[in-house]
Amino acid sequence: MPNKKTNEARIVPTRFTQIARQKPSISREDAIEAGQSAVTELEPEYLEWVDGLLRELWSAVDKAGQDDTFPNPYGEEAYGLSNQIRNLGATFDYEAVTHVADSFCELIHRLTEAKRNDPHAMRTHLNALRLVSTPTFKREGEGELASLMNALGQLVDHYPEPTGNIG
Amino acid sequence: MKGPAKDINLKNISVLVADSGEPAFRITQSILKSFGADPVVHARNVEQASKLIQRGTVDLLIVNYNIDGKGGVDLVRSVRENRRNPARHIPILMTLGHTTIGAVTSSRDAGANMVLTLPLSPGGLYDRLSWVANHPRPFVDQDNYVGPCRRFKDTGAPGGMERRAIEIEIDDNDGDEAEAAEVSAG
Repeated sequence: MPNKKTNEARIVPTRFTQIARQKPSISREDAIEAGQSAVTELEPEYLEWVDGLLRELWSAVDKAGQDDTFPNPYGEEAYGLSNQIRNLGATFDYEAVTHVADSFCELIHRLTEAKRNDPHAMRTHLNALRLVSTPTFKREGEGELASLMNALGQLVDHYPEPTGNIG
Repeated sequence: MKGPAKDINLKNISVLVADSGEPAFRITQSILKSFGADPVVHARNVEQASKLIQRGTVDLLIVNYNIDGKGGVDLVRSVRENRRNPARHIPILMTLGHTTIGAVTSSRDAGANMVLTLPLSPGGLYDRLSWVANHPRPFVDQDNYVGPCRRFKDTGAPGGMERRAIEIEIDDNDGDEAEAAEVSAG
């Protein structure tokens, strides 16, 4: 019976735990410095990455909007892409991108729970993302972020907050 | 997880990063390699990840909850529940962007060691790896749950970091009750 459960609970040594506790080790301080430097080296790729993800997101939102049923696979794809953009924004300190993409994720999450489609709200979020993902907005437009988020929030709040949200 | 993280050695630790996105992989890979981990391999979907894990050469799995839709949970569960899998005991970190309690509990119930909220920061990732290395937990193999014991003492945020955390009650002896689950800022 290859998958028979044994009801056992014991500490199982793994190669990871064995090697990780050996010397020579890397200190937390050195690791953070090296890790931060490695992330900084990737920053020039940000614009190309976001541009590619936005193009995929545009296509997914377009297809998701054509399908009356929700959730649909394209809506799910849009959720995943919005998540990726959110994380890129947070990694490279594009605060507006993080907030707008997070709002987009929340919108799709609520639409999924409500089993409702709202192409207008999704396209509005997409256009907002295109606006805020540029270095120009990062330099000059962050003062407009509060009013932008307020407007997007109204679109999201049109749907009830699902129980179990962390926020 | 209070107090400074213990130093760790990641030289020649083999890591599989299962994530649909190339940028997310590149960022995770860069941080891990700067810590000394090598190789750091990319799987773009659950099927690819499963094949690589079956080879038995992966020491650590970092999987995104939203790989192939919401396939991260399925991947973790398949790793843990297959007794023929040589890697079924490896540490698994689940990463989450937009976070819901449902995603956290399902990740934990599938057998992930930890759930990290994205974006990953070098300090956050280091602290969690140190925690996993220095606080091994019994591996539970029961009808309703397979994975690291979900009972562990919660002593606050690691290394003085702020923590975006929730407490969720789960019981390994009765899938419906009691104990602590942790969500940590990456």
